Amino acid sequence: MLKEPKWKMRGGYNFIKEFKVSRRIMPRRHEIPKEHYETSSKDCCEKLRYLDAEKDLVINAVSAEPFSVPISTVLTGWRLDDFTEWLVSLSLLNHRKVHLVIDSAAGEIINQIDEETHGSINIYSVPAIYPRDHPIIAAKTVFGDHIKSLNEANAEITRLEDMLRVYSLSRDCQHTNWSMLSLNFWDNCAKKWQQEIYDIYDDKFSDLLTQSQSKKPEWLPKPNLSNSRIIAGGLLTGRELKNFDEKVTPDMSPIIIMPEGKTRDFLPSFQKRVQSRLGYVTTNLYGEERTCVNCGWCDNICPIEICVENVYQSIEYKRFQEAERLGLFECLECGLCAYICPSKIEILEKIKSGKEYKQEGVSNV
Amino acid sequence: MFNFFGSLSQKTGKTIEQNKIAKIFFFALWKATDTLLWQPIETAKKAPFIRSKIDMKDFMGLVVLLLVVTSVCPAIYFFGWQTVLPRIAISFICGVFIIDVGWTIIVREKNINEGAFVTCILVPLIFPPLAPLWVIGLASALAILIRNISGGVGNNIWNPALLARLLIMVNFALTVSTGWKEPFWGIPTQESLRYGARLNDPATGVHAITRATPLVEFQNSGYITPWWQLLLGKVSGCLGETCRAALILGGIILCLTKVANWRIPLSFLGSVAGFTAIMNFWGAGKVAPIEFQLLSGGLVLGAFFMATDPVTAPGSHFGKWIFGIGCGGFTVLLRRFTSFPETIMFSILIMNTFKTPLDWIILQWRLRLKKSVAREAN
Repeated sequence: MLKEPKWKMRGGYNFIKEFKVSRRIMPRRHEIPKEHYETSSKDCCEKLRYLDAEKDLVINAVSAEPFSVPISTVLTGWRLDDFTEWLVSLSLLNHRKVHLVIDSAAGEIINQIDEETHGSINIYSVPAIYPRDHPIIAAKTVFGDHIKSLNEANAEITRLEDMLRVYSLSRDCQHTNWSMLSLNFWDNCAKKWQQEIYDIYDDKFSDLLTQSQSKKPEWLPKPNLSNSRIIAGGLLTGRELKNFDEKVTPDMSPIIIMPEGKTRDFLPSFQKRVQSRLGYVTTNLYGEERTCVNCGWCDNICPIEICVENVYQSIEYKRFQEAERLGLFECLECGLCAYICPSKIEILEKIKSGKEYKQEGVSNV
Repeated sequence: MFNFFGSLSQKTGKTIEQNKIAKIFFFALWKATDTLLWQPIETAKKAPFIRSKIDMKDFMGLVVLLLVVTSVCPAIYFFGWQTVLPRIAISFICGVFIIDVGWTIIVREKNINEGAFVTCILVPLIFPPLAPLWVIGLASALAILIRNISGGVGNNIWNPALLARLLIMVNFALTVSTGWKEPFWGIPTQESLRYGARLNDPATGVHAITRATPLVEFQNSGYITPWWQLLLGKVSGCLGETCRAALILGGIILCLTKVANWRIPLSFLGSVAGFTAIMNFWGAGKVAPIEFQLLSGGLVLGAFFMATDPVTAPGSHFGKWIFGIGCGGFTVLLRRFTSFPETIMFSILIMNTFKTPLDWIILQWRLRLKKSVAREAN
């Protein structure tokens, strides 16, 4: 049944509109190879707790982070009718409700799921505005604004990919470590972003790179590693990937090979406008750090409406009690405040250190 | 070629940084010029790894650009560049190049803040066209000095340009209350662009006609200037406030780009109209009609470019509404009951004073509301 979201997100930012991916390449999906089935019982039990718990189930199927894999792409190759039938059976089990928070860009798929489930699962169609893919935001969409942490919601909140994995487990009675990962890089010739989507099992990052750089037709653009930084886990919440032998895990998606941006462009204000049109983005700060001028952009963009500016100021002056009262621990650490700040203040770092101080008494502030 | 100059500038910077004495005197100045012309190469070390492309230079630069287009250009048309440009030049020389750079050297700050540019372009625009040059230089120097003493950009309580005008008005009252030059009207000629409206009377030696501002005329004789003259700028007034039509357009652009918050100008102008209507209804007498109130004086310039200064306006949305309404209320009341007809400066300065308490009260209120909502939910 299509339902209205119980909570409307006020702030947020539409990155999907800004970073348009020009070419999306996906290797042809076959059946999952047999050698990648895993029979480790511990992991299976861990995954199967979704089926046993007497909690509501919230499936989060929104891809709002820049360069994340679109939901329609995640679902290709899976039998949708079979999957939805399995979801219905899941909702009948233990008389619990199944909620599906889905990207409104998926369009046709939403209608298809709605028809096939005959209204037995609740579907919430939401626009892909960052940070809609955050689990707490999904819980707020389903249960309302009063949810502050995942413990408060009497529900299990999972990603769609995890759910597909559990589905595959219950269908084939074997656990698989399949997941999906997107590798993105800037194509210097075409001046566009390229996205490649891989099914990953037990690969290392270096395997992925060789696959992207050599095992494809010559005319396709290849990632250039010189003068660029590799960021795993999204541009806003991710980390820098330095060790190429690291095993690739689902939470590392999307991986972005980003231009470092150490060029000194002449007349930056003008150049930045031109680059924005192309969607060209680097790790450059695009400015220098200045004092806060109280512009209120961080307050306006914050999705959960905490007074970012006041929290930041009270951490700055070491008034941690006040920061906590103002909603320090409600912060999702989505990083939008630090992204938008025209004074280029590291607000996210300040908030993280404030949380650390309150929890452990360590002051890095 | 630009790359060559860029690397040359970088080398100069390194040389300055290595020399101890040169670093004290020139590093901040070099950095300000260098980052204005070339993009700095600092990168985001921690998450988020992307940053928006708008920085303080764009933020302040847009305000300066809009002021130049919507206020300085009409001023040149009305009063001639010989009146306008020296005033702006002296303001920049005294404000930015003497006081701000001097301050950076004395206090050894790393950066020269961009806020000074907005203040220094605003100062000559809120003085009469024939105000002496030394007054404008003194005003902009005072503005920057007081702002820096109170903690720099982001910590000042009052709008620096308006505070400087207030100080000048208190100390040199005549320079601010006279010198209202009659603006030029018609198809511009070479001479008009140079001198504005001018009388060449060799017998009396009169070069310019002065005329009281519409607000003074109204207070003295009850004469109401037609609204279209006020809108297009065919009236005397401060240097930058005459062409209201251009200022409104500029203000709308400022609001659309979110550099200024739309709530303040809307509530400011709306409350001026509202309070005027109420006072006319109750028969307080001697209150001008709404369109005259809205378009006269520095209201449009003040509402769009000065009250919206984020540093001195409240942070919360509700606070912004109250701030705007307060400004409007004080404007109408002071225009009616005091002997100063130009009251925008007073009303904005008074409401600036209430910024911090307003923010604090609204924050406490918001927290209490949050708590009660949480209690209800549980």
